Amino acid sequence: MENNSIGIGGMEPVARPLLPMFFILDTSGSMTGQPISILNHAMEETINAVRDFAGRNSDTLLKIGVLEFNSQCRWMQPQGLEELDDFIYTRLKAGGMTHMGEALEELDSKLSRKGFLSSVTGYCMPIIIFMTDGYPNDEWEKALKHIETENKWFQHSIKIGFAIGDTADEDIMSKIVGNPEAVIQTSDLELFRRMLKIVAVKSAMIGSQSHPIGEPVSGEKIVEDIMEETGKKVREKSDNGDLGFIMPDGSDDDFWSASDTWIIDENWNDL
Amino acid sequence: MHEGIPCQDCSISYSDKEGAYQIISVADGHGSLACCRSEKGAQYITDIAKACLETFAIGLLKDEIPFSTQRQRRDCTKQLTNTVISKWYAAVKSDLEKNPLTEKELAQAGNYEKDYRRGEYLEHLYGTTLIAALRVLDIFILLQQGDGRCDVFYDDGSVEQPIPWDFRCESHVTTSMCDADATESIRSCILDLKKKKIIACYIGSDGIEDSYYDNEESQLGTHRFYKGLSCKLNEYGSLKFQKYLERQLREFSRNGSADDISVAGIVDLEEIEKHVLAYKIWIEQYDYRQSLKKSLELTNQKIVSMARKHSILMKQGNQAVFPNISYEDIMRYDAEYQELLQKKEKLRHLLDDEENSSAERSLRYDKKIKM
Repeated sequence: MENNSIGIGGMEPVARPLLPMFFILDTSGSMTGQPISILNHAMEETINAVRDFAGRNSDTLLKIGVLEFNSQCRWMQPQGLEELDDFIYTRLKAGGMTHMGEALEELDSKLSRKGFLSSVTGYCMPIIIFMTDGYPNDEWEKALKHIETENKWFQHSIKIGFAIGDTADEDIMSKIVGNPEAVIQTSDLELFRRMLKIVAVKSAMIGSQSHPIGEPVSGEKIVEDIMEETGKKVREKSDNGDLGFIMPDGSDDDFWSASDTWIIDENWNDL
Repeated sequence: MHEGIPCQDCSISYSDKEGAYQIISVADGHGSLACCRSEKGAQYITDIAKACLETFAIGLLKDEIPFSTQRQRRDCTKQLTNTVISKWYAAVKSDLEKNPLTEKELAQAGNYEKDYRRGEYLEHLYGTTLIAALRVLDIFILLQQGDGRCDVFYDDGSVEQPIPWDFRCESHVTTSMCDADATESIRSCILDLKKKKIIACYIGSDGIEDSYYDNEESQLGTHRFYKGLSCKLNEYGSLKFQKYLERQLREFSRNGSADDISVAGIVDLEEIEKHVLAYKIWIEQYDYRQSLKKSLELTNQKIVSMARKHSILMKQGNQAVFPNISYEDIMRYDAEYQELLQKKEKLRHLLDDEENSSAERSLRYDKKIKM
């Protein structure tokens, strides 16, 4: 490009666009005990795996936000999204009600350029991963309608939901993420721990690529791809609420190709 | 550009052989699958706007259109915009009769599929914006529906966007020719060249303003774009400039908003030449300020990213809460954080100094122009 100092340029070269990843986590009273412990372990492993992916991916600037909700909602990083190398996961505690509506309102307020999505280098579609083990106790429908209709970031984001346990309302989660095929339901907490990591990294991989307008990226597509890659066949949902697919023999590390090396970062232990 | 979809913009520029009038028109077709015929819609509206404005210009030149009083101007302009809109709807209807909707077009229409199948809101398929300008006699007539901008440069060195803005157009949302209230919401203005001499009028689709950081409110980025264009036009002359523009707009779009970009202009080359030096200085100062602002924003964002971890590590100090993090690593993190804070202060001071200097320079330039 010729000398354009007085041309029609005047912009900085485009650096890495922002890829925001949000985790919206239910920490209500029903999560007390083993569920919250598994959730904490799952999140620590997931953050490590996503950090590893971010370190190898120079296409986008991946930043993370974690919003927990019970009777109130609270960001783990209230000042704004954090890069993976700066992010410290602080262990969550369970207690209180399930105010999903309040969480959606809070998410709505931060899913904007004036909120958490400030960037001088452009954006990828946000990734939003929801997790609940129950059903909302507040006016979630009103909050959902507002964020669905008014918030363009939410409309275009990649949304995936986890409905954990027998009392989790899968229908409500389907409405929140926009498609029942984008919801993973399981009562197997170990399976949830593994799937959360897979879903997060897969979403980050796909979210960091550009896509033709006729082939939008969606949560259900990502879940579908994961099911194909991890399962040899899909069977009907069983009575005990298992997801209903067969994992490959051995650990879920078989999911990754031989060339992928996962270095689990053990630096961030309990505080 | 990044999505590989064809350009749905359309633009026209036309000058009467004797130079009695000039017309420019830019249309930006909506890119969604539910508006899959918007490329046609944009083509129709630019052709129709040009034809209607030409008829209007000829009418004014022949003194057949009463245009002296405010009321006459208002009524005639209203009639003009109504004609443009109704002709566009007629063109859309004619195309639908010749080319009925296909199953593919219906299936990809998303939320509009049910309406389309019922034969409703079909004009939405052709949805497009429009900006158009006519210079004739001692007036400029400007029309706009939807987003995109019109920059008008005056011989006193000032620039403005005189077409009233529709605040429903923000953040990639726009009003459209296909809106039910298009007749009421289309905007227009008439500029009297006897009151203030216009040396250039540029119109462009929203891909331009979206390519500049922090531009939505101030529109300084848009002004920067057109000042740069004026300098290059002066440097190359009108023939070579066309090729330059085609090359640069592709590059500009790729590096900026990645949106389609179309521009058109009516420019007095002799008058522009007198302002080129001032434009160049203004552009350099703008670019410098923008680079400071972006650096400051990036620094701020990194500080936000690091602040919580920094606070946690400082509280822990050399206590072995993080057994795999050495005390030296913690100190290194602190040093990086402190450096960022100092950088932020330095950038802040530089930006304040630059903005103060810029205000003084503007005052001096204004005084010089008035002298």
